Amino acid sequence: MRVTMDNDRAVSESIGFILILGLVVGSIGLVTLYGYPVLLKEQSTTDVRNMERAMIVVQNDLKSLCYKNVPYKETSLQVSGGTLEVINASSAAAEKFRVSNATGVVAEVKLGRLEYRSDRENYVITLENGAVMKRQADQTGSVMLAEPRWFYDPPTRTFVVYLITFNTTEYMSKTGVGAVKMSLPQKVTLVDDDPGTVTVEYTGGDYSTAWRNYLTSPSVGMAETDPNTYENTTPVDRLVVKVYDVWVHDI
Amino acid sequence: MEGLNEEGQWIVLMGLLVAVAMFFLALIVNQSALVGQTTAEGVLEFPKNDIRDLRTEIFDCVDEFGDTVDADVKKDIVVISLERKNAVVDFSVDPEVEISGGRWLHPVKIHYNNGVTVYDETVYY
Repeated sequence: MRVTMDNDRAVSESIGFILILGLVVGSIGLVTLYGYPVLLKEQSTTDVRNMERAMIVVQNDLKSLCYKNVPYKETSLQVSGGTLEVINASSAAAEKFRVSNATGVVAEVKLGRLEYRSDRENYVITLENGAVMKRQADQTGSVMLAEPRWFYDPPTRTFVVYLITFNTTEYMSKTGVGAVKMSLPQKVTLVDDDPGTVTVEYTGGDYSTAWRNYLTSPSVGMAETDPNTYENTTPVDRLVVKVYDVWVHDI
Repeated sequence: MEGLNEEGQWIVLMGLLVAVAMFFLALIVNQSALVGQTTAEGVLEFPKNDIRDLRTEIFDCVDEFGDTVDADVKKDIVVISLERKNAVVDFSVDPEVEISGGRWLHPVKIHYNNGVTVYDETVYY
């Protein structure tokens, strides 16, 4: 015998509606609770990554200023999710490089820097002395994203050091769309034809790890003798120190 | 449900396919910006004209002095390269040697290094 199941007695439209509504409200609640923070984090990570690229663009401008005899450069960039500021070379917060030969100090330069601080993420991205570096705020570690152009030329035994300072007339910081305007009014070339042992000393501290990794890498080939003090491991017949005073007019 | 026509379902499926395709395209576009930048930098950073200028200067030097290049002229070339082009250069001109075909030419060794590009050449001029 065939049993027909066409029985609608336990079917209620309102229970169905409540179930569906409950599912919808529950999903919205889950997305708000877990999804939204993930989206926000993703956004700030993207901001930091965009700023890394923007800093490398500014670094390219700096290369044009210093190495290609371009007197003035201007780049628009968008600073989002944080603040970009210029730290003047003469300020107390500026870090310092001292280059010495066997007899004494050849150049001692306070650098100044362009610094981006993220609001939500803990990252700081910096353009200092032609290098783009990144670190976590209040931590000792740091990493170099784009290297400067110091080099040792083995056939001529020439060691070339570039020191780039950032100077401003006033304190500057920026959030949103801005234009980094830089000019190079003067540069100084110091050549030493018998330097003996070349010593480079970095004082300041925030980016000491990044500079250590760079200076002791094979492309530069120095060795750390004291904390933040580096000496050439290969004989240097000629030391060239180029000091560029870059002026930042606006960001 | 009897009267329902299901022949339009492929439209929905195509929509899904397009969405997946867009996702992967977006990934590729995201990467290509980076690749484009590094390639463009690689081309721009190669100092072709600087090396050409240097070679021309050195060949003029050889025309003028032969294998006994004036020390001051050589020093000038080295200093000007360093000051204007940020390049460490060195060159030497040896006495003429016979190369195939019975021609006597100077072997000229040129060394150029600007920290990014290292260029070494021995050319018979």
